[in-house]
Amino acid sequence: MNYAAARLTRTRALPLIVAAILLGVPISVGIGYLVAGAMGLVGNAAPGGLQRVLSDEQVLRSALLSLWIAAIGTSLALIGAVSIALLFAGKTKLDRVARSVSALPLPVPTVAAAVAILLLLSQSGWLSRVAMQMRLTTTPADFPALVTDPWAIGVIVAVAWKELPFLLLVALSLQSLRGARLTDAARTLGASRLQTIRTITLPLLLRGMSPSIIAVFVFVLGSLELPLVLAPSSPLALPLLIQERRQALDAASHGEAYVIALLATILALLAAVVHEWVRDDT
Amino acid sequence: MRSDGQRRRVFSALLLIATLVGCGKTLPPTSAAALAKMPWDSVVARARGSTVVWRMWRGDPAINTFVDQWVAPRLKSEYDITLQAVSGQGNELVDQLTVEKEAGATSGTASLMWINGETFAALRARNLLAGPWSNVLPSAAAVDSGSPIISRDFEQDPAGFESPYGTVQLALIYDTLRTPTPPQTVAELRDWIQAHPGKFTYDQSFAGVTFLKGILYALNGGVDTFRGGFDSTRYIAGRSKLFAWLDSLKPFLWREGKQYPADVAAMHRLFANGEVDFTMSNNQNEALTKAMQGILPKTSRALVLRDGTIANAHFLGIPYNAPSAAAAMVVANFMLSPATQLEKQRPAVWADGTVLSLDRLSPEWRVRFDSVVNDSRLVPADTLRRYARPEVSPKYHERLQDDWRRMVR
Repeated sequence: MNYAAARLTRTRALPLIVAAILLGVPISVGIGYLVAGAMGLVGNAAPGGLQRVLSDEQVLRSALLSLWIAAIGTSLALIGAVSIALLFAGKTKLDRVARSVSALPLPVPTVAAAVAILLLLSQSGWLSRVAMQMRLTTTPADFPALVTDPWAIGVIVAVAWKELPFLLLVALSLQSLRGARLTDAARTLGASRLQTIRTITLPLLLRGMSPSIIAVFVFVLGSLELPLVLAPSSPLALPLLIQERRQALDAASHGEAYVIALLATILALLAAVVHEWVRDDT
Repeated sequence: MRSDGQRRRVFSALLLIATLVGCGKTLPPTSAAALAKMPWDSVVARARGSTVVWRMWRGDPAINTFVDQWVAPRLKSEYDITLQAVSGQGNELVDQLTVEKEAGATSGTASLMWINGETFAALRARNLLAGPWSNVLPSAAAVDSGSPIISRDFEQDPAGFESPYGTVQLALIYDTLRTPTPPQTVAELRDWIQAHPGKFTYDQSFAGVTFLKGILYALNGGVDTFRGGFDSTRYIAGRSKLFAWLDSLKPFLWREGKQYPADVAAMHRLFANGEVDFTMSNNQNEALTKAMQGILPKTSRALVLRDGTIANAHFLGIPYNAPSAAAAMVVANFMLSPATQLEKQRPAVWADGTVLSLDRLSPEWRVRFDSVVNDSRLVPADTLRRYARPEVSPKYHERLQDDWRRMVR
């Protein structure tokens, strides 16, 4: 190793150690605590949670609901973000206004977004009142249940609305970084607009956005605020189930909370692993 | 060459370690049990200048305002005690203190906790409460110790390890405009629900389980069936009657009993928006307080079913490792004083029932309490008393909540 390379390694070693301490230690301690809790070693948790959780139908249904919310919510946000990025990529005033408006939900606090969706979609909400005014319905119960509903439509709408701007910003920055030259070249070589989008713009966007998509998916999977206000009570979203078991006073439920939290961590890790695997393939 | 910078870094690291080691060696503060043996004046003297971190339920802005803007300034000016109310309840308290005890912490953060029922049982079972101390508080002399609701906490003897400071009783809330003749008994309630599909529900947290426990009593010969500690056989027999009752009503509940509101706040919203015709509260006065706040319709009233509804008291406990036990005792005593109890009971403040026996107060205080209690919009005090049923072993609540979540929801 020559001097410069050694020096480079040394200058990079310190940030690496700092990053390992700042990021790795809390995560390791957190996971270690979860494992210890699952084994009944810390807190007032009872051991044996693993067998109970694995045979607990409620846990399976909760996991499926949370995966459903994260998958559909992220997909809708992605479709919205990519469509806006493609449709309003230009430099006209309309393009700029459309992009700014789409970014509006970004600074809205999650809880405020949840309450806004509640006021809009609940059976006594704004849409329901409009339907009643138009004599489409006569009582709140006539309006379809869109919040705290078994298909979690309310949460999914909120997730899509809240996550769209983040994915849109990623898409726009990708486009501005590397989109223009390649698409110009393709158009010059005679590709149609649709062909260019299908073969160049979209693959480039999706490839570049994939870490952000996984980040959104994992974030939604573990987030509590939107399900707290909008999700059904049966099955409970996974984070709510963890909270419920942890707040229960019996040691058995408490031990199960640690196991379910570990399960949720594994689901999130799996998503990251799948992402790495898919990325290496392409 | 070792630079000065490096040496300085090593030195500060050593200093940091020394400080950390030093921290662990602070002397444990005087315990509540030891303080209870001292004259009250010296407890008050020791409390001066301390800070009391009070872990309590912070879910109601009205309660927070009372604690932060009425209680705290008075404690500061009268006793030089700084009160810091922070969030924390139920299992969180048990969990944190368990961890602190495992870590061998002789001095914790909180000096006072809002507890009752199963939390008290769990804390006592793990020796996480200081005491006995509550019987020596000067204001405790006026506590209504003859009341089964106040002298027992879910059948447990407080034994000086917690001090009562408020009582509540479960009540249904209805709108006199929408429901001019509400059901008065459990049987009438069932008929009403069947006649009004989709207009009744109960929440899946504390109030809902308390409501179900009241029905459990009513369907099984009253509270006496379940008194005297947890009995698995009697519980299972009672539970099957209750769940059969719920099954017969399920198709008539809001969302056909497939979904339940998360808590009373969610249920209040459904009620205020006309999605359901009843809500409920663990506080008999909440119909009035929430109507005054504009959250519920002005015509909302409380209703106590004649089969009886559950009443209980809430208490203050001091953790085993409280950093300022003396000041915590002074705060607990302050919470029991007639002036605090009266302010707390005002509908515009909290509307939390007093734990004092009005007979043990001076005539002037009695008049003031009467003026608050005798509001025509409230359920009359003697009606409340007549239909109040005590809590039974916390195990019933725990099991019912768990079984409902697994078998009904």
